[in-house]
Amino acid sequence: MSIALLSRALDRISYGMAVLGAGFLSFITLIIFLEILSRFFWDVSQIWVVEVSEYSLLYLTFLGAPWLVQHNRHVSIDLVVERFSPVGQSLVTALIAVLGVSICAMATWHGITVLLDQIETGAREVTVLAPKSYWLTLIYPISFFVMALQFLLKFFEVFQNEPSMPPSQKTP
Amino acid sequence: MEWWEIFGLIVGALILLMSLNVPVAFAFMAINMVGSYLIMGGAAGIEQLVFRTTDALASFTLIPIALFMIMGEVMFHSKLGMDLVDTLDKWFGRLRGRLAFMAVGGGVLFSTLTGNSMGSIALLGSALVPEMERRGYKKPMSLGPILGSGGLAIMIPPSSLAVILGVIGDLSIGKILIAIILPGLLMAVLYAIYILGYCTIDPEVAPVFDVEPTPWREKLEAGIRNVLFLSIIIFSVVGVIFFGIATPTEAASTGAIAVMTLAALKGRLSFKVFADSMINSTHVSVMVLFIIVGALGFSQLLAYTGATEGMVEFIIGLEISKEQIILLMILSVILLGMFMGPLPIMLITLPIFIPTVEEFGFDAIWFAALYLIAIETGATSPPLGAALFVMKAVAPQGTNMGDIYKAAIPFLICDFLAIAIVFSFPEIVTWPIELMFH
Repeated sequence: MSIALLSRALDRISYGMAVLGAGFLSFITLIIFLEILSRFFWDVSQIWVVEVSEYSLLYLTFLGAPWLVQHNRHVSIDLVVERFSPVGQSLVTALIAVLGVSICAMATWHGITVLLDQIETGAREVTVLAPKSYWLTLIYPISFFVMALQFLLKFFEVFQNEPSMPPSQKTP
Repeated sequence: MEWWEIFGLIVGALILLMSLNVPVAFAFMAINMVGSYLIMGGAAGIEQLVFRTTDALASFTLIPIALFMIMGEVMFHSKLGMDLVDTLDKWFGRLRGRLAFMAVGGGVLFSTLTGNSMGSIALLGSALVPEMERRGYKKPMSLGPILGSGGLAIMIPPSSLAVILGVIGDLSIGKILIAIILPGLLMAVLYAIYILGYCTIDPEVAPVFDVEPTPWREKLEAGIRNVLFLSIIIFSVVGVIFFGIATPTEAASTGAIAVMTLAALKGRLSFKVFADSMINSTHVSVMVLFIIVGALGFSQLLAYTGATEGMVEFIIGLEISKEQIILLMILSVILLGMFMGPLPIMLITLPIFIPTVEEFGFDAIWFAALYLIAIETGATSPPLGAALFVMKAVAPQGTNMGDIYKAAIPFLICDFLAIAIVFSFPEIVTWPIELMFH
C-alpha cells in the first residue's frame, strides 16, 4: 500500500470517527436536556442518563483523538523547535513520530490485554446499569491503533518529504 | 529517593518532552506509561493506566467542558457572538485601544455565557484577533487582553471550576458563585486600566481608526435586543441552577440548547452551522479532555510517588505566619498551574488546603475566591499554562509561543495585583455573601 493511499484511508477513518464523536456529543446534550424536562414537568427521572452520558463522553474523546493527530491539532509547544534548522526540525518530527508510535502501540497492546481479560472474565462495571466492562474498554485500543498508524505515517513522511497534511492546516 | 528528586525527575522529563514539541497529551502519556511501569509494578502498572484513563473520562463532572464548548461554537458559527461584539462596537465608539477594551468587555459578557475560560478565549480569539491584526494592533495588545479576559470565565458565574471547587472542598457552591463575582469584575477593571495606560504611553501599540458614529437610538436598540438575548442564556445556565431545576453539570445542556434555540429563532441555525458547531466542539473538547486525562494520570503518578505530598507538606511545614502560608498555598497553585491543568491541581491540593485554611480560622469561601484567581493566573502562565495553548490554537498563522508568552505577562501582573487586593480586603468577597445569605 502506498503512503498516499494509507494517508487518504486514515484521513477518512479519522474523519468518520470524529463525526461519530460529534454524534455522541449531540446525544449527550439531548438526553441531559430531556432528563431535566422530564424531571421538571412530570417529576420522572431516568436513572440511566448520567451513566450513559459518562460512557458517551469516554467514546467521544477516543473517537475524536485520531483526527487531531492526523491534522496535527493536538496542542504542542513549538517554542524551542522552531529555532532549529530545517534538518533539526525534521529530526525532531521523526523522533516525535517514533515516540507517538511507541506510546500508541503500547496503549493498544495493553488495551487489548485488558479487553481480552474482561471478555474472558465477563467483568461488569459496578454501577446501576452494570454494563460488561469490555464495551467501555473497546474504544481504547481501537483509537490508539489508528493513532499508532498515523504516527507511523508521519515518520515515513519525514523521509519522503511529502506531508499528507500541512502542519499549519487548521479548521476554525 | 527523596520526594524532591522524584518530583524533579518526573516534572523535568515532562518539560523536556513538551519543549521538544511532543503534543502535550502524549508527553503526559509517555511519562505516565514509563512511571506506571517503573513504580506501579511493570506491565500491570500500564494495564492499571488503561483502567484509570477510561474511568477518568467516563465522568459526569467533565461533561460541562464539552457542553460549554457547544455554547461557544454555536455562538461563533451562527454569528450570535458577533452580535454581542457588534453591540459593544456601537457603544465603544472612537476610542484608542477600543478592540482591546472590547476584548475585556466581551470577556465579561462571554463569561456570563460560558463556564469555561478555554471556550471564551477560543471565541474571543477567533472573533477579535483577525480584526485587531488588520487594524495594526501589536501582538501584546491583541493577544494579551483576550488571554486575560477569557480567563474571567472562571471568575464569573456560571463557572464550572467554581462548581468543582465546591464539590471537592465541600463548600457551598452557591456562596462560591456569589463570592467570585466582585473579584472577577475587579480583574476586568485592572485589565482595562492597564490597556488605557499602555495605549497612552505607547499609542503605536493600538492605532486609532475611524469609526462611523452610531446614533443613540441604534445603540439603545442593539443594547436592549442583546441584553434580552443575554438574559435568556444567563437564566438557562445560572437560573436553572439557582431555582434547583438542574444541577450545575446538567445546566450546561440547557445552556447549549438555549443558544441553539436562539440561533434558530434568528434564522441562523442551518444544518451546516449545527454540524460545524458540533464537529468543532468535539475537536476542541477532545483536545482539552485528552490533556485533562493525561494530567490526571500524571497527578496520580506524582501523588503515588509521594512527591505531591512532600511538596505540599514542605510548604505547610515552613515556620512562618498563617497569612504567609496562605500566600504560599496560592503561589503553589500558580506554580502548579504552569505545568498542570486546573482539575488535577484542585484534586491534589484542595483536600489538604481547605482543612488547613479552616484550621487557621480563615473564611474558606474567601480562600476559594483567591484560589480561583490563582488557578486562572496559573492557566495563563508560561511555559505550560493551558490557556496559552488555546490561544495558540486560535491565533493567526505566524504567531509563535514567544509572542503569546510576552503578551500574557502584563495581564499576569494584573492577576497578582487582584490577588493582593482580595487578600488584603476580604470584604470584597464576604460583603456580597452577607448581603445575599443573611
